[in-house]
Amino acid sequence: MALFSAKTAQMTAAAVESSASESQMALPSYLEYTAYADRVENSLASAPSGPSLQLPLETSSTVSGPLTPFEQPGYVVQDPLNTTTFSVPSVGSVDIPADTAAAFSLRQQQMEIDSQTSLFPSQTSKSDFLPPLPSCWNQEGISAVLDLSKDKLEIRYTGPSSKASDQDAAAVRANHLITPQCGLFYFEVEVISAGKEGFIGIGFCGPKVALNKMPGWVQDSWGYHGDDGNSFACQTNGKPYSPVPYGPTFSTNDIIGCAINFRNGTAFYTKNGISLGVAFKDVKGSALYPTVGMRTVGEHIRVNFGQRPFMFDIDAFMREEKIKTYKQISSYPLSIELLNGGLSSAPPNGPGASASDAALTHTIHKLIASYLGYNGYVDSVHAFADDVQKEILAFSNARVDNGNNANSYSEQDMHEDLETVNRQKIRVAVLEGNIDRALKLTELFFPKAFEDNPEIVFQLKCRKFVELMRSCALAKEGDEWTVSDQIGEYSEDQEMSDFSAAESEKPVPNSSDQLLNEALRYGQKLHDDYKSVTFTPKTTQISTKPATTSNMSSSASSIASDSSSSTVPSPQITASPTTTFVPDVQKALGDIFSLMAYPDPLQSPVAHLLSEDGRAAVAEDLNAAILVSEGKLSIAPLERLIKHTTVLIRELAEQGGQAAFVNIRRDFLSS
Amino acid sequence: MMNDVRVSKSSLNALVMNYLIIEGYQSAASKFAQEANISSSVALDSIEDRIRIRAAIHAGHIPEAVERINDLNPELLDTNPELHFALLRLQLIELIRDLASTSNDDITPALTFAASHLASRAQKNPEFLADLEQTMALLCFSPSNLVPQLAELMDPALRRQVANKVNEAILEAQGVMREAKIRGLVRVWGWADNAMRQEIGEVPALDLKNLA
Repeated sequence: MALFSAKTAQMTAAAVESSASESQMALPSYLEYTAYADRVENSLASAPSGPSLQLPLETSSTVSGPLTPFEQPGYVVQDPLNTTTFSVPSVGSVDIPADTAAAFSLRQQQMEIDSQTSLFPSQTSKSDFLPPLPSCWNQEGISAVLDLSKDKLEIRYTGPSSKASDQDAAAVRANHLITPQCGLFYFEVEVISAGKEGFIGIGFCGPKVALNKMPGWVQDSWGYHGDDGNSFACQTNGKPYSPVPYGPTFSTNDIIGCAINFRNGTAFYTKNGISLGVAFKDVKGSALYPTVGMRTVGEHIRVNFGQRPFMFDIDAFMREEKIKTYKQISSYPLSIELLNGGLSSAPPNGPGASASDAALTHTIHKLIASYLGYNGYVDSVHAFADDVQKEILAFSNARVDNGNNANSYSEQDMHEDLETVNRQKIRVAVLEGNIDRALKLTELFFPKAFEDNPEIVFQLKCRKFVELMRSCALAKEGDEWTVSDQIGEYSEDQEMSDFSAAESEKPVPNSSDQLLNEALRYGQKLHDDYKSVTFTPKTTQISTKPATTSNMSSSASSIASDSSSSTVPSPQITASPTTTFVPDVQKALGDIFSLMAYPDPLQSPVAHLLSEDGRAAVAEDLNAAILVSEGKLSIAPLERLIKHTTVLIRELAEQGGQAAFVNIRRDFLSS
Repeated sequence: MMNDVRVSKSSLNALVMNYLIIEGYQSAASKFAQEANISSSVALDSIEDRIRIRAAIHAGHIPEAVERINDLNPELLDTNPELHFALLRLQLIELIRDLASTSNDDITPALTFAASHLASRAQKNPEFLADLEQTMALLCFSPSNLVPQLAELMDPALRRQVANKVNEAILEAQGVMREAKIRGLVRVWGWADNAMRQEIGEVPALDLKNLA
């Protein structure tokens, strides 16, 4: 039984935002692990606040050709005959690295060509556009003989009760196209009444199909019919029908399910929860609507697009499809060239599969080590290097003939990295709430970070005010609070002795009143300093000179660049313009000053501002600012790999296929 | 496009921790847990046994590894004949390697070992038999002049492979997912990169080396 999880209920917003009039619908559970779900979740995660979940429907419907009556806004379908092209809106695409954009726009062009020549008009492939899923029937253009219920889920045939013929057929289709990104789409139709003859056809069709034929009786249309149990696929108009015996007949009280599998282009039906096997092969096209057709009076059905639990266990079927997908993916031989060009340099020699394995391990070691270094986890970097070293030593101590393998690991070269150590000190200072120390250390070691990013100084100062308010509130509570926790003692650092001396001269506040006074003074100064300041968004071009302080061996990377120059040149993401976060100064000040309005801020509605969690966010931002000022990208290669792969999967999944069954977030990033 | 993909810090940490624990980097795992302030669901000391077994296999000390495996999980090799055979064959290869590194021409120990431990298993399984025959061929050639297929057997990377298989089998028996997630992730990257290449001819390379 398919059930809805609370988590996916949140996804509703993105999926149905487009049609306020339609019933709210959660993402059905069987779709939770698809590329589509990854995008839905990502768009929720990236929404700063409020209405930005709005799908870019208006922008993407700037089409030059006329819309056919059944097109929904946002479903810009190109007319294959008119070959009208439309400009792809660049919603939020300012961050695309130039090379990535170039290569992907190449694909864009390719798809535009495809859509002009192929039978099935292609949807917009703009990846910012998140197409909603079918959630109810579309009222527009349906025959007068069909009666649509208020919730748009039930359809009743009310036509003439006289002897009906094929000419009296009337069909309805869903409000949205099925996006192949969901990998597999499933819906169930309950026959409430078979009416006079039970002439009901269930299936799917393209956007151009007329609504006066049974599903399957015209081009670009597929259907399974209840009166005879036959299946029909894309019959050509005017030719004698050639039914294919497929399944049992169905009638009143039966529940018929229909699944389109974009992994392999097949479709199958279910009857009362049991699969009837593959009905259609070579189901192609990214523009398909669920559809139902009827022909005689009294026929009455109700559709379930996932609003309610399904009769058939589609979740289990989906799991099987995912397993098949991953079997295929892991049987694909990893390209050593890709791994080498990507990150590692001198993989251990070895023939065949073992070389690929070794290159994979080598790459992962680099990803892990650089991730630890990026975050300033100095002890972890060293411990990891030691562990890897031990592993290699155990390996090479033995009686190995061609024992040059130990040398090929550059993890051995991981050294004490001063820059990393300093970043770690700064991080720890922020995490301890010792903002003064963080400010001073950053100024000492990374002055450029503050020059480049006055915003981060502001952020730190705001945090300092919060820390002052916090210690004041804790002092009032009268327990646990220690002065040194806030003021900090760091005489262990020789280079910091000046600062230590300066600070130790300060009188140590010993009452909450004194602390409050200090906080207020600081707040006043903060207000004076920043009352007329606004930060403007700016784009920083990051230089990509090999990081001098990297813990990776530089000899290794030079080998790698040699080898890459001898192979076919490919566009490389070398630099990425990064738009720095721009805080709204006045709002930020307003937020933190609101702390002063409460006698006991810890119990106030704004108590969350005082949480220690806020330190981590500031520490992250400061770390990123320092990395950028040092000429590094602000995100670790591991994170970059994840983002890059997510984008690749997203692009591939737009055509369905295996990629639609990959959900990077769910499959690799959730615990 | 890449920049609007959101990845949370905690999920990155979890991915790294998952690797350190599954692949048995014990001290790195415990330092990382401290520095990144994450609590691990798997007890870190459970890594210890796996590290010792892996080290033994990497060093070519197969009897020691088998003993340790049996101490840890007496049923593991019995219920996993392929794994057991892989270990025994590796032991045979190590014997042959010893032979090659000394001037000793006596191949009796290797033959005795093969006859007593491997032959009976190979009779029951054609794949085992093919593997055994291939391994025995090592005795006929000089180690410096092997065809690639045979050279692969002598390559120490085979130890790594077998060690990984053992590690995975132990983890699976402990109810832990057998492969570190990051391996799967990198594979998806390789697969998707290729699929995209097939479709549009070229893909923006993920140039990680300049960033690290």
